[in-house]
Amino acid sequence: MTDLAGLLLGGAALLLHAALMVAAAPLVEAWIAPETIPVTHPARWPERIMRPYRALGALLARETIRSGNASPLAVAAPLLAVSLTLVAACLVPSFAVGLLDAPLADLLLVLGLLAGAQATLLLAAADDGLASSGLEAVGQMVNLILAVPGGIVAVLTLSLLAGGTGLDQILAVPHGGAGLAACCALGLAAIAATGRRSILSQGWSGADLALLRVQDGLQMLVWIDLIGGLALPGMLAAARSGPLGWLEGLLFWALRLALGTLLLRTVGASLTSLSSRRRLAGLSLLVAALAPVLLLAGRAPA
Amino acid sequence: MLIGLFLLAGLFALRGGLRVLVPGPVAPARAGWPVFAISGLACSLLGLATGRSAGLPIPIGTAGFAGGLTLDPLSCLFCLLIFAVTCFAETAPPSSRLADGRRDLAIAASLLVLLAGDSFLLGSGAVLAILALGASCGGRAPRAHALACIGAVGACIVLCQRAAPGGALLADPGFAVLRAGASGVASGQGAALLPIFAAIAAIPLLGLWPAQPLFRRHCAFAPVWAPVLGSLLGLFLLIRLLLDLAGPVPSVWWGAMLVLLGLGSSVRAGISGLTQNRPGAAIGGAIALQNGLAVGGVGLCLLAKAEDLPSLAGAAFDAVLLFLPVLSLAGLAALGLARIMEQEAGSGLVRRLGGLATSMPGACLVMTVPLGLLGFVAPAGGFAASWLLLQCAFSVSLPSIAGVPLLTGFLVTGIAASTSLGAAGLIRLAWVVALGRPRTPRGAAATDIGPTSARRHGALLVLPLLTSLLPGLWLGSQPGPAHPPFRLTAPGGTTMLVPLPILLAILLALLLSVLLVRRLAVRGERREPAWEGGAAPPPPWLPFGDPATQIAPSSLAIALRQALLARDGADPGLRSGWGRGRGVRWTMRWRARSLLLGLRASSDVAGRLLLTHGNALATAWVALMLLAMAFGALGPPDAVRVDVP
Repeated sequence: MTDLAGLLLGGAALLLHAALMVAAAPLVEAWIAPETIPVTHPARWPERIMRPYRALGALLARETIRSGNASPLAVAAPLLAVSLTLVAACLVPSFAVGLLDAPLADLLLVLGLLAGAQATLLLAAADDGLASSGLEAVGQMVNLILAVPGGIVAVLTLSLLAGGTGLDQILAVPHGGAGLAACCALGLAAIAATGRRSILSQGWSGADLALLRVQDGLQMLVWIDLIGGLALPGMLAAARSGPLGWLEGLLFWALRLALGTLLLRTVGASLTSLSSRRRLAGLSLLVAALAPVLLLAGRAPA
Repeated sequence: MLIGLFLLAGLFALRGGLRVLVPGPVAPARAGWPVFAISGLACSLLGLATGRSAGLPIPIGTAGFAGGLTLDPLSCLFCLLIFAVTCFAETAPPSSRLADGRRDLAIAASLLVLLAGDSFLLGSGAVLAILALGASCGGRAPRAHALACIGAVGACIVLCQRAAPGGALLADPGFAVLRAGASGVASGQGAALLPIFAAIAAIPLLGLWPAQPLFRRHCAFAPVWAPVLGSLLGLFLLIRLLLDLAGPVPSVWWGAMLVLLGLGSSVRAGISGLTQNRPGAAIGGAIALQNGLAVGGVGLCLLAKAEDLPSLAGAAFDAVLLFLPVLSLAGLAALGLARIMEQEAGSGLVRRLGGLATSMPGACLVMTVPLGLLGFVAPAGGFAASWLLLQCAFSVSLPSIAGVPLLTGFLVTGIAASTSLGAAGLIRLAWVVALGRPRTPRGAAATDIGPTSARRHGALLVLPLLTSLLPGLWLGSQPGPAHPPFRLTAPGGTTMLVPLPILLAILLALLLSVLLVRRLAVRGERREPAWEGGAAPPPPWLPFGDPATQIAPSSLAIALRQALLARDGADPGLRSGWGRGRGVRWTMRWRARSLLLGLRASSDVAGRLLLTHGNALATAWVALMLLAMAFGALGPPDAVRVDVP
């Protein structure tokens, strides 16, 4: 296959990946947090699938109400958060590796973009000057601070395994027990850092709330793709394999998505308080610190 | 040629400076300084573009021992930053002739340090600059700065003894003897003394432990250029003394000492940035944090040099160079804007500021850029530098050092903790100062900055943005392997960061989001009073609502402290201790209801282990010792050995 054909296939796979991410985000958000979608009557499957999109449309049709003393940040924050998360979502492979943006995809960069989106929303939460959203923002900020070291130490293990932090590089190697421990640490850090949005979302309405839900869904998708790809390696197609090869990758992606959604829904229903998520940050650091030990213990003596 | 141009610029400055002695208004009398600063900027850019060294011997001293001035790529790079600081300092409102004189002396002495070609000029310039910087906040130079002078002089004496065992002060024209030395100062007494003297000279200037309170006081009260100039001077002294003049094979413990000092100080600066009462001091904490990371980078570079890993040493040095424009120019812009906000809002205390994003939107908009650069927002600024430093930490493979796994763990957790704490400190500053409701009527009536001030502060941010988006252009000015202009490459060469396309992708996504929302959101926006959770509207004497119901300056620090000390009120089981009381019964019942019993139990255990200071340290120590034992018994894994060329 020529370089040009590979480039075209990589570009097409990237476009398909981005479209899938944007399309699946409302669904994932609704599946993981079903309380955000108003239930009017029992519905069949096609209606259930369309319900999140209808809810988004209804939100966009409503008037956006903002606080009287809101600063320009209140307008910009949802847009900026969605943009940062969308770029992160485009960098993390869903069904195929070797996308056109693969040379740019770095695990630390993805974590940085997600943390930037989270920080933007936490900043905006304090914009109206209310006590409830401010306290919630402070609590989530603490969780974010505590989760970062665990996440970075987990990246250290993955980097030791793969010889770098490029995402395609990391997803290409089998990980073993140490890699699984690092995945667990990364997942625990993610759950601790993302937090719940029930109080934060009370300050938003209309188009802003719609953007916030899309961002939430995109963020969940990024974590599911990332941790699913790390925990279940070998299920990603190569972008150069063409549309027939992508089908297999898409099938496995749907499987990982279903598993990840179920897991996140269970965890989300179980860990409802900020303090319970905060303990996951501690657990993340512990597991992340033990992952390199597992890695080194499994190697032959020098 | 270049040094001649510098001298010409200095003559112009002298002409302007002499007119200060003549009675009259201050501003017209200093016409020479803009010429000096702009021509200095041009000379530095020319020097960086050509990338060649130049020298000018000065006939002082005995024959064969005369000193001189030297302009090399490293001093060119620092000259560029110092002249940019000079341009900004000159346009700041004049205070008094004495203060102006101290500022001129500090800048001139700093330039002498950069251009010094022998130990005598280096030491003299350093002492003058340190004293002038120490006196810049009024009164005499503090004791810490006097100690820094001793450190600088001691380091220069050690260098002289290395160059000429007789101890002649002018024994190393152009540092030629030192650079040509086969063993450098890594042997003998110099090996023990030089790093200690260099660290003593740099610590007060960089705001590292234990001189952090002094540095933060400078950031809050001294002219805004003073801490920035001090940071640049301190880092230059460290790099020049330990990386350039110390010889090709420095001792390993120099690097380990600097790594421990730098990262430990940066974590402490991050914590202190969360608790500062003044905006300038909080920004000073962020600058000190970046200084600490840069010192850690210098230490890592020394470690790699000692173990003969040139690509790792080069990458660590690149990370240090990437920190420079961020901590100096972005820090200067942030300090300048914070000072303007304090003046407009009528108070220098964080607890009296608030809601400035509404009353000063222009200032806050400009402020977001330096805060983003200092706050490690991906993909530019401090993020790019810390990314490269982390990659260096991932690639550390120094098998001959016994404690390397410990050092690697310390490096990675130190960088992660300091970056997250630094970002949290700046978010806390934005929460309290810019967002929310005004806390005083004066703050509500603050007026925005004018276009001139916005342009002046914006101009300072051009270089940090350019250097982080096109890092190869900045790093390529130094001798060494070629750097691609658009990307940063990790030491192993397998991973890279390309900030410009990522930024363009973010802007494209932002544009698409705006267009989509404008097209789909059919109804507009309405502003309503903030909902107060059912409380009554504010009384007439609190027109902006109760300021006490907002996020307080100490909210984040208190919440973080409670989390680390496991005093979280939401979990009585955790609070009451293991195996006793009602809290445990409550926790057990709660666990029994949970679907994730195992996860909860393990998270409780981990919480008990990690969420107190002592237990966290003990657990981390045990984990790292296990890591060290595994490394010692088995040797590092193959993937770690990516750097050995």
